[in-house]
Amino acid sequence: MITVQGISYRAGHRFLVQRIDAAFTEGQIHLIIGPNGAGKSTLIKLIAGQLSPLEGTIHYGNDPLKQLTVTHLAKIRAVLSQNVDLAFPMQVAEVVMLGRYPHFSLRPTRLDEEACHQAMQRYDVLEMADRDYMTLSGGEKQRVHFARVTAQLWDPQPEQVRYLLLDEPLNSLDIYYQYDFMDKVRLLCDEQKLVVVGVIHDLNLAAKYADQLVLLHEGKILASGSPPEVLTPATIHQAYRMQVNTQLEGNKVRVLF
Amino acid sequence: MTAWNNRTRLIYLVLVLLVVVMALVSARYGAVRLEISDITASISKTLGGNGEMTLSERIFMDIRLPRVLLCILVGASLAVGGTLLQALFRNPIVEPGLVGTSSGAALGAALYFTLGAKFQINAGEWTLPIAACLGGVLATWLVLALSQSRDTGKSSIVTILLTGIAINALCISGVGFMSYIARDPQARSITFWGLGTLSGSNWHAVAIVGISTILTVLAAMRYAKQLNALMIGEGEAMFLGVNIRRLKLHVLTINVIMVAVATAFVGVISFVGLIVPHLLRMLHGSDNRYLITASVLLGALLLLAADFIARMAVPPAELPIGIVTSVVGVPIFIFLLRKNKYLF
Repeated sequence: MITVQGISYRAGHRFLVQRIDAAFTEGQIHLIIGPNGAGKSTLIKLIAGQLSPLEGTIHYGNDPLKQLTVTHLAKIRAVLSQNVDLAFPMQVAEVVMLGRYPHFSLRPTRLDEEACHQAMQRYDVLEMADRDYMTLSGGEKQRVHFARVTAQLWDPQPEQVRYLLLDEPLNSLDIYYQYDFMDKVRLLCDEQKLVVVGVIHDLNLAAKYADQLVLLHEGKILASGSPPEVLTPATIHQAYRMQVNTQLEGNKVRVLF
Repeated sequence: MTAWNNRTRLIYLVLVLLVVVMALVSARYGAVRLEISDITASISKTLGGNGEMTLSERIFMDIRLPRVLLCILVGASLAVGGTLLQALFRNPIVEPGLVGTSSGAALGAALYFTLGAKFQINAGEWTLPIAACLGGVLATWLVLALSQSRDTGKSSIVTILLTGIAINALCISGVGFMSYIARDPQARSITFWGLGTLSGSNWHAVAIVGISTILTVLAAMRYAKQLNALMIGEGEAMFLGVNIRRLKLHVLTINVIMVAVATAFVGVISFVGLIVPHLLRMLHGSDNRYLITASVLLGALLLLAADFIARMAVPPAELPIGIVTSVVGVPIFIFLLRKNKYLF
């Protein structure tokens, strides 16, 4: 579980996020939504440890994030960002193997090879394993990074809780892969002991896949809870300045624009 | 990673063979042509510690052999330095001169040539290397200190590069000013040194550059894996367990020692540090574990070849080696760039 207590972060005089409290539990997908500039990416970067909060604390399980070393964190936490690009030509298989770097010291073990193979198979990148990453399309590149992150968290017998953070990972993908990836995130979350926290733009995608939603507005939490609780015409109007209707189907909600 | 498959072994094998052959050719031919028997006799007399050496044997032991060894060591240092910086800056146009090391060394040397005698600063044969090394280290330190952000204490790669370009320009104009106020022979020394020469090779230089090269290359290999992770960006590398700040500090320190010491003894030799990592990437990809070790060999090979050409082109005089590396290196490099699909 990741616990966030009263964290704030400021750039210049402007608070990007202010006194955020939240708890992200394992086995569930937590998605953060909100309009542009609401502080979504800042919040995920704070949780990932890429930024340090001005005040407040973040705990991974019982350990304060501040006390975890970069090396240790890399073994239990993976982050998938948008628009990751390479400086030099590199084979796809090598890029995926980067995900196993925290787990071996000199040469990859059989377990590392196995993890990469599984991950590449899952995201349909196995057949491009020998290709140069630079020659791939935007969508293909993002599939490679999904495979890399999956390899980083892959464990045949998961015991320890691990953490997957997603920072707008679906941006360069077409609709098919957006849904396909979220299905696979769901699968990964179920088979590995994962806490999944992600930032996502599409409200209906969020409604379909999230167990818990956090709606951010001007650096503060406007609403949080299950999708039907969070996605109401009132909250959406307040955050996005849009008049919408919502439709309930069982325990799922749909936003109609 | 596919770093250690058969193709890698083949590349290493071919490179080692070429270095050995080139070293032997370079040792044998020159202004005076040596026989193989001279070489073997010279080695056995030195090892045995007995017998007067003939002139040919002395040429081999006192001139050719230290020169060949220094070529190998300096070539290795410059090439590995280039590989390290390109990986650290995630930028294919970087070479060891970029953080100020080479131009700082050149300024140190120029100051010694013009003002050394006047101020009677003298440490014997060591004065020039010490002045150059100090210049290189100081200029690099200046670049790193000035590129540090006042708020966070961190320095971004782009700021380091820009500061490096600025400090380079400053050092180069310093060298220009020194040549301007120097007397003719001094100005000639400055020019000659700025283009690199191995004609001053001796066993002292071999020992010092040797220790520096071996230690720094071994240290550099420890960072190869982290530099691989850096290829997908600083933020992402951190998520893969790399302590970015420490990595930058350590790799830059290794690079400065490596390049400053080598440059101190042979002058500024451009292009080796730029071209070697690119040639190796075209051959077999960007894995830094392969690039660093193979850079040692290819850097040595290129510098041996360049020095051989420099000595053979206009005997008994010598061309400055920096001219050879550029004149021969540039066309090859551009040809390869255009021929290969080499994307960034």
